[in-house]
Amino acid sequence: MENVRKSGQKIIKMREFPSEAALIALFILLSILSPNFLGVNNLMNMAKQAAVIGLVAMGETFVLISGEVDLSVGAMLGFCGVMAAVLWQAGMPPAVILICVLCIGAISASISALLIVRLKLAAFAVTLGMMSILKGAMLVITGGFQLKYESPLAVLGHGYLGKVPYGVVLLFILLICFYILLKKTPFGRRVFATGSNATAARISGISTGKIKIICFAITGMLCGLGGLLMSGSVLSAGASTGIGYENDIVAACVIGGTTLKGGEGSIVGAVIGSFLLGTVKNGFVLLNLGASWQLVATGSIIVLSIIIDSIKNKSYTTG
Amino acid sequence: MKKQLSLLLVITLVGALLAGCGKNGNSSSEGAENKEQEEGGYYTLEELAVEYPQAMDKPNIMPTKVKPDTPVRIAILGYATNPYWVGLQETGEVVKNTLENVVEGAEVDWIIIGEDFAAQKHIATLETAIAKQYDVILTPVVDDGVVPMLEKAMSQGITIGTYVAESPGVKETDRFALFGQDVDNSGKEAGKFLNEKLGGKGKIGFITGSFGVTSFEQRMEGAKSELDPAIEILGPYENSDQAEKSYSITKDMVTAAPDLNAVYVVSGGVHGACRAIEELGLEDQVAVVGFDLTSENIENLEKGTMAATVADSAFAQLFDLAMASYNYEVTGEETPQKEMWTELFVITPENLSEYASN
Repeated sequence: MENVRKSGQKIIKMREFPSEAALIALFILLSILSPNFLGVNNLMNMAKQAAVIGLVAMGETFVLISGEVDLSVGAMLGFCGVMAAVLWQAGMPPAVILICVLCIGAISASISALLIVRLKLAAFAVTLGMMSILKGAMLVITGGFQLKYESPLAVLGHGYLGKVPYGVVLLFILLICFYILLKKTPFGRRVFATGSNATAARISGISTGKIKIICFAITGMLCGLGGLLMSGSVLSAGASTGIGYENDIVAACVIGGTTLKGGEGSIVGAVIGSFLLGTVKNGFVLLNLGASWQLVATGSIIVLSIIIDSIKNKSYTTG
Repeated sequence: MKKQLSLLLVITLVGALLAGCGKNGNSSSEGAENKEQEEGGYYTLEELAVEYPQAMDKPNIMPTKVKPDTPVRIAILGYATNPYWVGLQETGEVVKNTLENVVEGAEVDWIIIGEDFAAQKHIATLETAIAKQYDVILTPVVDDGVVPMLEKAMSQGITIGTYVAESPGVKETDRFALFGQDVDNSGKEAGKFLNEKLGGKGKIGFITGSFGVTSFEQRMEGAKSELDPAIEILGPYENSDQAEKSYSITKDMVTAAPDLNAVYVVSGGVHGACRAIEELGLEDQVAVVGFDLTSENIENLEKGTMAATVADSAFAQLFDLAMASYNYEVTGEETPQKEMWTELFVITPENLSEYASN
């Protein structure tokens, strides 16, 4: 009995617990209210939509833990998708498209990081500016048209491994990899140290600037992968691809227990957060609820997550 | 007495002379003006050598041959949200070439408002155009929030013409003319098609670009007014003009209602809905209806993944408005009505060849 109590307490104390509990509760509610919710097709559709958000949210988590923020992730997602289409139309083979798009994402994000780290500029402002630059670049490149993207690589966006979308398979493989990177490696510990107290981290020999740049580069690469998935799902990319997705991506991180002040966060939580948001959207359509309330619902979940996290932290501090 | 009579006679004669000269002068200038008009007339389509995209795009209004003293400065404002606006920008280029190089009577600039329909961006663009003191500004208006800026432009003597669509508040202003799509009617045409297709019963999923954009709301309400009450409507849901969101919303709607009969998309991004239906193999069950004759829609109509699109001639409406506003600046000629609605076409896979070729 004592062991059960201790296990229960351990679960409740987990950073991801609030979002996990919310997701389970939502699943139970929707499965009662909608007969089609638990169908395999619906769950896989929902997972496919959440996969893009989840992938980039994992990267954003690294950035947030390191004490910064990247608001350009939505535009970067779209820009990478557009570049995939451009490269395919130029006759590039799938492997080249994959490498180029990942590099484009990494380089775009690294430029922001360099400005933040070297010139000590506010991440909020720099990434906001980068978002505009990338949006403009997408307009210039596409000319407003939807560019076709029918490379074999597009199968990542619309193909299935059995019943599971490739995007979801990728998400879980990378979740394991990045979980290990963040939780079990010296690099991960340095990311947490940088975000917790950058000065102390520097004094103890951690190159905080380098850590941040790597975190941004990881986000950029995941934006590249997300862009491939997004364009692959509709076999095209246009000037509005990815625009506005930064809201969901940052929201997924916060819902999953990552704080905006740095030093704390969870990769697993970010993925759970992305699934929670995806489930909310799916639920609104399945139940034919007014979609204008969806934003209210999403915002409420974010605020609730922050409140719960704050209460948990205070109770640990006061005992 | 004789002197007074003589004086009166002289005054009368002088007065008569002056009046006669003045009248003759006016007659002379009117005559000169009439002669000029007769000699001027209007350019013909052949003289202009205008290339229009599709057969349905043939323009109706030609520019006057009367030359202005100074070139008329025209600003055409447009968006960059989807291929429809790319077509309009190309029309802007044709207008520029026609009025600058053939007619040699105007300077034309195309100005992009932005990649979304936010009123703030439109207001900022208008402010810039006003500051640059254009004679004419041609613009779509999707939000009544822009109306005060239009009134400011008009108070400074700038001729304002609207095209594509205008929000209800613009009609109360003194704008020159609207050349556009009667969005309420275009929604009704879509609704009529859907009602007939579904036989007055079934389920339709509605997808809009953004809530609160007047033209989208009018298209939805227009369609609803033609649907039988027995038809159930799912949504509407926002897609931000994005094909990816249309794709996921459509899949969710099919899950919610496996017996879904149609998807009605009032904004851009309809391609995503077509893609979702194609992936699910539901082309025969679910009819996708959208707007505009873009290259993506033509392809989807040819493939059978789209049941219909309601289109008008975007080319003709902007070209005609530009020529009409140019004529107004040069000769003062007004349009027959303040609202010049373009003809609407309901294009299906069956009649596509009539519209999608020049």
